[in-house]
This record gives sequence, structure tokens and C-alpha cells, in this order.
Amino acid sequence: MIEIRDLRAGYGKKEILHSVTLDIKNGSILSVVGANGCGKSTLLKALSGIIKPSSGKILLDGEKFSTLTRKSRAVRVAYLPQDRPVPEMTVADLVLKGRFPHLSFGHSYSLDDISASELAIKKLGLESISHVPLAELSGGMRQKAYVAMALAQDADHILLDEPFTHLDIPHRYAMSDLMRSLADEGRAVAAVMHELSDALAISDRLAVMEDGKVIFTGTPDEVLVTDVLPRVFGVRYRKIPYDGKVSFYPERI
Amino acid sequence: MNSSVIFSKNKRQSARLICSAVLSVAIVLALSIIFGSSRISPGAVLSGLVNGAESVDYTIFKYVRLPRALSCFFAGAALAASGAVIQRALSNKLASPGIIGVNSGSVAAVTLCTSLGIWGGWTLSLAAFLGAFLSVCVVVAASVKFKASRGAVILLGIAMNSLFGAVTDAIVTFVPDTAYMTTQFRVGDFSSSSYSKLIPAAVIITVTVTAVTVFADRLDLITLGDDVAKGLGLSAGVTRMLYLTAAALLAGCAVSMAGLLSFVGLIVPHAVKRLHVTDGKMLLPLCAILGGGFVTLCDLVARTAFAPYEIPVGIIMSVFGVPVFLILLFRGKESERP
Repeated sequence: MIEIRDLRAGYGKKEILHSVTLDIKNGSILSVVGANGCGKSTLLKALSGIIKPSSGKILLDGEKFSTLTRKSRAVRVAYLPQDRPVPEMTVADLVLKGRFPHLSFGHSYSLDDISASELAIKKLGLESISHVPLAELSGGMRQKAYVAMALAQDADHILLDEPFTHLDIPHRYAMSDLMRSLADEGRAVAAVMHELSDALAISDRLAVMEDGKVIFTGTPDEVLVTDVLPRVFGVRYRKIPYDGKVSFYPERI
Repeated sequence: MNSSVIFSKNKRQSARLICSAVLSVAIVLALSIIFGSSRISPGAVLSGLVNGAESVDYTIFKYVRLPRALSCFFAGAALAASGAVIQRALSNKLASPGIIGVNSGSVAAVTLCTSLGIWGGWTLSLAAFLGAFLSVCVVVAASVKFKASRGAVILLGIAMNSLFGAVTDAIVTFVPDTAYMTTQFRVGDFSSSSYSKLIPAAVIITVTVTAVTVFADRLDLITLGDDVAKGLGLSAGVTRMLYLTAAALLAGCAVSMAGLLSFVGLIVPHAVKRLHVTDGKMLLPLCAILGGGFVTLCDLVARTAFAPYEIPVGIIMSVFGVPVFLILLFRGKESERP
């Protein structure tokens, strides 16, 4: 579990996150939503150690995040940023890089690392393109390769920034199922989500951000009965049950 | 697909490539030792090596051909490895020691040493490294400070090339005796190869190429972008700087032996990538081996094509290198182009 208390962080002297308090619980999916520029990605960067908080604290399973080394954080927190270059390597090479936090200094990847990478490749169904250079893949397939890398990291806490980017509808469903299976394995999954309908459909809880603050946390049902979404996004969502499932449709106000 | 197939295929391919490269370069080195303005007998060389039998051929081998062939090999290996490291560390396919001003920094430092009467040894190698390192520091600091794009990094390098060229010209103006050496340095030349230049440079090159290869997984992570690399537990900024220091060291050592051999650091890494080598642990040693072989081959042509006249190897490299590079450029897929 990640506990965030009164967290302030930003870039240089510019503070983006203002006193954020939030829990990311194991065994569940938390979607972080909010308008563009509200600090969603900055929050994930602070939680993965990419930017240093100016005040407040982050506890990782009760341990102070700031006292952990970079590698020991990476063993426990996997982070997939929104913007990534296209490196000159194959899918298999990329996925294996997810095992870097588990490497001792100067050591090569072990059989365990290779097994974990192969498992992640299979889980994402990338076996047939494992030897294909990333530059030759579509954006969606590259996205899946990066997710496989994050899975190979085998961390208990998984932070995904816009995991549905570049994915078509079938792959979005597959990604939702994957996130659910990770949560069912007992991992804490937090994702910055652009599409509110997706966020409402896949999440156990939502954290709604506005101007660098978390203004609401709760289940999808709880958020729907408040005026938070209309206030932040200017839309109201309607929950529509079908075939034992639910879907969420936006209505412009 | 069988689970073991995914990663074992890479290993088999890599082993085949390394063996072929080593064999090809060994042949080039042997030819480079045998052929020249006068052909020497392999038998006489072997006899000299095994029994210590002195002969003219053995003397030529020992004091002329061997230091020269090894200088070519190590200079080429260093520049190609340096180019591969710079391209990965800056995530810029256009970068190379010649383009970002590393080589010209070395030339300025070597020219300064020459003007002070230092013509070889560890001091020359160290000075060449410091010149190269200064250039790397300026380019990296400016690109970080101003968040320079890939194109801007190249422009920064062009500016550094210009600045160090002016420094070199200024030294030559004040100390005209350095002019001959500077001319040789600017076109790249192995005619004054000696053990005093070779040994310190070869030791540093061997150690540095080994080190960058052993820790190549860190360099690979840099190519994933700083955020991904940091998320995987790597100190991206420190690692990049360490690798660029290593690249400066390699380029500096090469320049201290041969002067400016600009194209090697650009062409060889791109050619090796065409062999579908992407893993740094394979890419760096392969670049070093094939870069060494390429320069040795060019030097062999430079010595024999117009024998008894010899032309500077830099000219041959440009004559052969540019068309090869253009072919690679236009035949490759869009995504693979530099």
C-alpha cells in the first residue's frame, strides 16, 4: 500500500502538487483523473521517485519512501510514463530491461530474470513479435511491450500513466483485464486515465484532481452522486447496466 | 513458441556474429602486416617470433608494421565504440565524436602538447582525453541547461568544432613547428605510429571498452528515456555523464594516435545496427572489433593503392566511407535511418 500524506512537489521552484493526501491500496485499481495540467502525471512521478517532493511524506508498505534506495524503490514500484522514446531494441530486449532493478552491480540477467521476462511477454501475447524491433511496431503494440516491461519488473505497486494510449478497443479491453488480474493478484494498481468512461468502468476507486489537489476519492458509484465530475469536467455521467455489466455515458451539461 | 526460444535465439546469433567479426578482422590485420611498400614474408616473421631469428622482414614487422596495424585497430575500435556510446547516451543517431566536437577538442589539446614538446606517452593520451572531455562537458551542460533538441546538440557540436579549430590554428600561428603535425592530425594518419603512442592508448582503450561493455545494460536503459530509466532505479544523469566521459576517453586516445578520423564513429555503429544488433553488450564490442577492422583495411589501401606513395588514411576513409554510408542511408528503412 502507498500512503501519501500532505505531499507537495513540482519542478524547480514551481509547485504542482499542493498538499496531496491519498492511499493506493493493494488488491485494487485506483484511477487518477482530472483536467489537463492538474498534476496527475506529476503525482505518479513523485510516487516513483522521479521527482523529489518538497514536503510531506510517502509510505510504501509502512516504510518511508525517501529512505529507500533507487533500486529498492524500483523493485517495489513499477512506473510507466506517458511519453517514451522508441529505443533501438527488440520487444524481448525491452521487456528484459524491466528486470534491471533486480540485478546486482555488474551482474548479468539470470535465468530467473529471463523466466520473468518470458512470462510477461506471454501475458501480453507478444511471443510472435518478441524479436521485432520496437521501431517496426505500431504505437499500440509498443505500448503493450512497455507494459510487459513493467510486468517483468514484478513490483507490488504498479503506476501507469495513460495505459490506454494508442490502444484500439479490443486492446483496451485486454488492458483492462490485465489491470484487473494484477489487482486480483494483490498488487496496488494506480493509473492516470484520460477517458473518464474507462476510468469509471475499470476502477475500484477514483481520485479526482483539480489544480494540484485531490478533491475527491471514492468508488465510481460514490463519485457519480456528487457534483465533482460536472464541476471539473463539465459533464455528467450516466451508469447504464447491460448483460450484468455496466457502462458509463457522458452527458454534456 | 517455446519459452526458451525467445532469448536463446539472440545468444546464438550474437555468438555467430562475434566469431565472424573476429575472424574477418584477424585476416585484415594479417594482410595489413604482410603488405605494404615492401611485402614481408610470413615465414620470416614467424621465425623471428618463435626463434628470435633476426631478419629485415622481422625488423620491419616489429618496428613498422605491427605498431601501425595495432594503432589502426585500436584507433578504429575506440572511435567506433565512442560513436556508439555517444549515440546511445544522447539518444541521437546523428551524434559521433567528430560531430559533437570531441575529436577537435582532442586535436587542440594534442597540438598544445606538441607545442610544449610532448610528442607521445601517457601525457599525450591524457591531454587528448582532457580536450575531448572538455568538449563533451560543454555540449552536455548546454544541452541540459537549455533543454536542447537533437538538432540543437549537433549545432552545439559544430560550434565546439569551430572553437577548437580556432584554438588549434592559434597555437600553430604562435608555434609554427607544430604545423606539420597538425596537418597530419587533421587528415588522420598512421605513418608516425610508434609504441610510445600505442601502448598507453591501447591500455586505456582496452580497459574502457571492456568497462562500457560490462555495464552496457545501463546505457541501454538511457535509451528508454530518463523517466523510464529512473523508474527502473537508474541515476540517468550520472550514468549518461559517466558514459560520455568514457566516450571522450576513447576518442581522445584514438586522436592521440591517429589524429582526426571523423567518419568511423558515425558509420560503424550504423553499419553494425544493420546486422540487427541492438543489445548494448553485443553492439559495443562488435562496433569496436569492426571499427578496428575498417580502419586497418583503409590504412592498408592507403599504403598499397598508390605504392610506393602513401596517402593519409583519412582520405581513403572518406572516399570509401561516404558512399558506404549513403548506401546504408538510402537502402535502410525509414525508422533505421540516422
